[in-house]
Amino acid sequence: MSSELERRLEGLFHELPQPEPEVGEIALAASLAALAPSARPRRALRAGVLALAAAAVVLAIAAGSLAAAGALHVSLGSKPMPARAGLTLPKGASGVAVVANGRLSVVTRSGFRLQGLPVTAAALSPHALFVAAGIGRSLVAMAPNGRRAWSVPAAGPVVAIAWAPYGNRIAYVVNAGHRFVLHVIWGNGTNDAVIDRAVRAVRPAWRGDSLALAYVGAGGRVVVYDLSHATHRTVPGLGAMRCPHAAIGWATGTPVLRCIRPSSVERQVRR
Amino acid sequence: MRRARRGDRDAAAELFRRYWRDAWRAAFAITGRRALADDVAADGFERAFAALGRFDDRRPFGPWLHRIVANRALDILRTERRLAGDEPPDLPDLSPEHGAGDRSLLTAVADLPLERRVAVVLRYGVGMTPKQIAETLDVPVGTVNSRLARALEQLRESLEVEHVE
Repeated sequence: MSSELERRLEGLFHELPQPEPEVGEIALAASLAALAPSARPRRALRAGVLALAAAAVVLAIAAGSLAAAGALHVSLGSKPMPARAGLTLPKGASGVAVVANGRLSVVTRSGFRLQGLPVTAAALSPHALFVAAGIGRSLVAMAPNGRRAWSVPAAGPVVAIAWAPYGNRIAYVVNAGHRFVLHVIWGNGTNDAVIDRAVRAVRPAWRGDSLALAYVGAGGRVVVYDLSHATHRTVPGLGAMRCPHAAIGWATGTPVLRCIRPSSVERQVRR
Repeated sequence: MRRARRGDRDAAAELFRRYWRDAWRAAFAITGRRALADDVAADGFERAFAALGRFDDRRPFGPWLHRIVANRALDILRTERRLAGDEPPDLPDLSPEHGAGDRSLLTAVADLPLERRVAVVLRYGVGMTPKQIAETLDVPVGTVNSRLARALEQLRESLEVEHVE
């Protein structure tokens, strides 16, 4: 026989808050991505596939060192993209991750294929063995089979992610409401640390040795964070120019830091 | 269920819509935090869908899913507790529409030790029998009954104290 308390408990759970609709949509897309492959015929859009892959390669090349160790990451603007378009792997690449209109598509040489997952940002690991993505208010690392390797809650949506070339660290920027916060976390999802509490929503760039990280501070100045000494240094050349909405990146194999705008390489500074 | 197991995305989406809210609420009731509930429920579904091919479709999907969600929530909270030491848990995120009575009961549930809280959520929130809870948590039925009895006793005490104050 139920006591009054038990009846109250039953009633309590029926009155619990509801999940946010957008959380359900994201979870549904992620769950369907984890589902075993469908037996139904795939709607291949060859032209769209080729066009998207070509656009990915062109943009990735323009971004220069934003592509790390064969893994390309491209974010396209807010213009609607074909919802079912797929990706093909460019020759020589380990993988491609494209975020178009808030949807992530990934294809890797190992056979990992993900399409249409709603994310706020994403980046492949150096050898495209994992993809880190901002999902809801979490940073999530997905293994090649599409399952989560780990996830960490964030103070808001993750807007930019950069995986260190050695794969041992991930830098990510969180939209914490009234400001953007830069974090660095180990590649296994542990030891999350805040590096700067006021930055721009620009994807950070790792130096080739994974020991330094360049990012755009709140004032628009480029800052280099040295992991070995836990020190911040502004970059005079780039700082004077400011590149608030541009991408930054290190030239491959050199201590040259670039500030890149969509149309052209604006400036290079030797570090 | 069979269609979803064969990889039919529409059937799987239907399965998701049928169980998503209850799974999320169970995660919320265990963790007491929206952000964590989002993560736990989503992760539970991903794991369930990834393992759907191995699921025996003669059994009900709901208890199996809740088992995954409950165990995932327990894993996360135990890890958090280990990292945070003996810090008291956060109060549950409550929406403004909750009345004072509900709020006090929900707060009392959130104050229960983790194992008792999970037993209460699975029993009164999800509607599992003690035997199903025992299977879910991989403990004897007697342990479940004991946790439930102690949880009810603690809740009564908490509510009485609040009433007197």
